[in-house]
Formats: sequence, structure tokens, C-alpha cells
Amino acid sequence: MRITRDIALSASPANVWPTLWDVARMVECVPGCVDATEIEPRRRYAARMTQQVGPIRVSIPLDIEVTEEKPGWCLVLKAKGRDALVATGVSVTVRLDLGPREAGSSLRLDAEWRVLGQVAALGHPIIQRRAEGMVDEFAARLERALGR
Amino acid sequence: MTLPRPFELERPTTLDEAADLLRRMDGESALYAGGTELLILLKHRAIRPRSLIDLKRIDGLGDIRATDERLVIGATVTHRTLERAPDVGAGWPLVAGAIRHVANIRVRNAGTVGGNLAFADPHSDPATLFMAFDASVRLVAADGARTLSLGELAHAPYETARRPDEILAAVSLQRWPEGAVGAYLKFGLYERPTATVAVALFLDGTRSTVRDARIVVGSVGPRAVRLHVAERAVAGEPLGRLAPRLDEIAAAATRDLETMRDLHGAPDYKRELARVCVRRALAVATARARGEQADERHPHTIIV
Repeated sequence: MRITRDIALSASPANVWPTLWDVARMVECVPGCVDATEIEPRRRYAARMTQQVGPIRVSIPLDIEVTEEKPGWCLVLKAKGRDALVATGVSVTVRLDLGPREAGSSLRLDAEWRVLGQVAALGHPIIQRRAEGMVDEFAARLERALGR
Repeated sequence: MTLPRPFELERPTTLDEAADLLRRMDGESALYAGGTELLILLKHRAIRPRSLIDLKRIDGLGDIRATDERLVIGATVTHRTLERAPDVGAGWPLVAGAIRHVANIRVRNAGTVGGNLAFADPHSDPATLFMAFDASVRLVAADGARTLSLGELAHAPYETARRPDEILAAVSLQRWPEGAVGAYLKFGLYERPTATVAVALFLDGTRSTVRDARIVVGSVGPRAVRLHVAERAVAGEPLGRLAPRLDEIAAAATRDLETMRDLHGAPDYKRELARVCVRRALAVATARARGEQADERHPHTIIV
């Protein structure tokens, strides 16, 4: 499954870029993200994602690895994890491309992910719909966080 | 499939007691009415509540109350009970007739109306049917109660506006005005319908013109929805002018309909199916409005 979004932000790229590396602020921005910690600066992180998808609630510990960084404009990370109790696994690759626009910056988010197990049984359209909602919420929260 | 994880079973006898239990469990419990969907999730261990709150012993939740204005169905009323209730059969024949075709006899015997609406399966028959009766649900929590229309309740597949501390206590259907006619159509190759359409036509005093209409389509998208475009196209139309326009009305009403891919088919197929089913359901309802027998028989299609 894949989602691509161009997120318009009112802050300049110089202000957005450090926010993307600020663990506490990213926890605020990513819906359902809790308990994020830095394991190796700018390389490895751990986080827990909780989501209610339909009747199923998952709580997934994620290992996050930054696989590519072009300082100031591009970031690629891979995350994967599994909720053993609900027998659901997820793996995701996210690419973020940051660039200037007339008033602020443009952040292109390109996410490709796989969901396996119980939650996947709900079907692709339901998960896709939820993921699109999460990306929209992330965009709104990021804009708010940058405004503070 | 495995055995469910261990859980406590709570059996309150009043709604207040149940709401208080739900609040105290803070999201760690699940409500248990018919259990037809819940037990599958438990056995798959897709959910892991610390307790189940059994609603079946609560006074009043198993009642059906038919008045001149409304039909109020308690949350733990089973589909079978609703189908067989004499008041419903006599005063609300479309409801009794349509509910008779929900799932299969085992599900109808155990599954409840409240559970069906709270689970928000996009392929729910009652959700589509009840919206044609401008239905609303009563949600009760420890700190108060509120009423939502069915359109406000379900906002996505399997997701509703019901808060974790709220109990769906009853659904209330509004009686159609004198002289109204209706139809319910469901198409499906499997137990869960692929498309459902409910139509209500409210006629003027001469019974020759449609004064107002409710047209609902379900199962093809994330939730059942009113087709306001079709309702506006039908309202004010003399019955004689309506029949030749049904194709055009159904096409316009479903052109921008949100449909969703699932095991039943692709979005474009669902939209086309919705168009055809809306036209057929309107044809049945308009024939009934003219006092005629509708000549609509189609494979895999149930018309009530």
C-alpha cells in the first residue's frame, strides 16, 4: 500500500528540518505514537504506535532506522514491528522530501507499507482509509507544532 | 481460531450499573449483546478485553415499543424478535419484512439490532433500512445520555461516534406520514449484501405527486448514506412524470457516490450496481404509490 502527499507548511524549510529530528515533537505530531526514544542519534529510534482500526486495537513496538539523510531536504526511514497479542505486523518505508515554496515549505511524504495478520483481515480499503486519515492528521499537527 | 483470552463476565441489571462498569473499566471492557461479531473477534484474539459487560439482563433493553409516531427498539432486541413482533408486522411491515432477510436464521436468532448498528459493518441491512425512517440512536454514559442520527453514528467502516464509555441503548424509527410507500432492495451473492437500497416516498393529499422522499444506499461504500440528489429530483414530481425519469435520477444520484473496494467488488462496479439498484427500488416504490404491483424480479435480489 502506498500514500503520497504534498504537505504545505507555513514555516520555512530551515525551521521544518530540525523539527523532523525532534523526537518529542514528532511524538506529538504522529497520531497514535507514544514512548519514542532515541537509540543512536540520527540512526536508530524506538517507538510504540497504538491504533484502533475498526474493532481491533493494536499496540506495536517499532524499530525505526534512518536509512538515508540528505541534510536539509531528504530523509528516508524504515520502521517495523509486531503486536504479538493481536498477531499483527507492520513494516513501513517513509520518504520525506522538503523544499521551499512561495510562503513556507513543501513537504512531500511518500509512504509504502505492509500490514500483516489480524488487522490486515479488515481489508486494504479500510486500512488505506485509516492511513490516509493519519497522514492528514500528521500534516495538521505538524503545521500547528511549527506555529508554536 | 483459538480460545479467547480469559476475561471477567459482568452481568449488570440496570443501564446505570452497566454505564458505571464501562466507565470504571476505562476502555478495557467490551459490551456483549448478541455476540455474533464479538465472539469471532475474541476467538481470533483480535480484541483482548479484561471484561465483557453482558447487556442482555438489563431491564428495558430488550423491549420494542411501537407508538403512533415512533418504533423504539431496545439494543438487545434480536433481529428474529423484531421480525416476529406483532406490532412491528402490523404497523411497520417494511421493517419486519426486511429484517427477515438479515444474514441467516442463526445470526437473526442471536444477533441484536443494537450490536449490528454499533459494529458499523458497511454491509449492515438495518443501517440502510433504518435511515429511511430517519432513525436515531440513544447513547448512554455514566455522565449522561445523548441522541445521534444514524448518519452521525457511523463515520467509517466499523467505526462510530460512540465513545468507549457509551452504551448504544436503543434505536428509534420515525413513522412515515399517512399514505407513504416504501421499498427495500438488497442485492448479493453472499450472506452479506453487496448493495442495499431503501426508498420512502411521501405522497401529497391527492396521492398523485411525491411531496418528499428518502432514498438510502448502503453496502457499496464505507457506510449507508442518503442520496439527497435523488431525493430532491423526486420531490415535487407527479408520479406520472417520474416513471420515465428513473434512469436519469438514479444515474445522477450515484455519479459521485463514494464507493469502496472489498471482497464484493471494485469501486466502479459498486457505483454501477448502486445505480441499477436505486433505479429498481424507485421503480418498485413508484409502482406501489400508483397502487400497482411492481414487476421487478431479478437474480440475487430480494425486494421487500
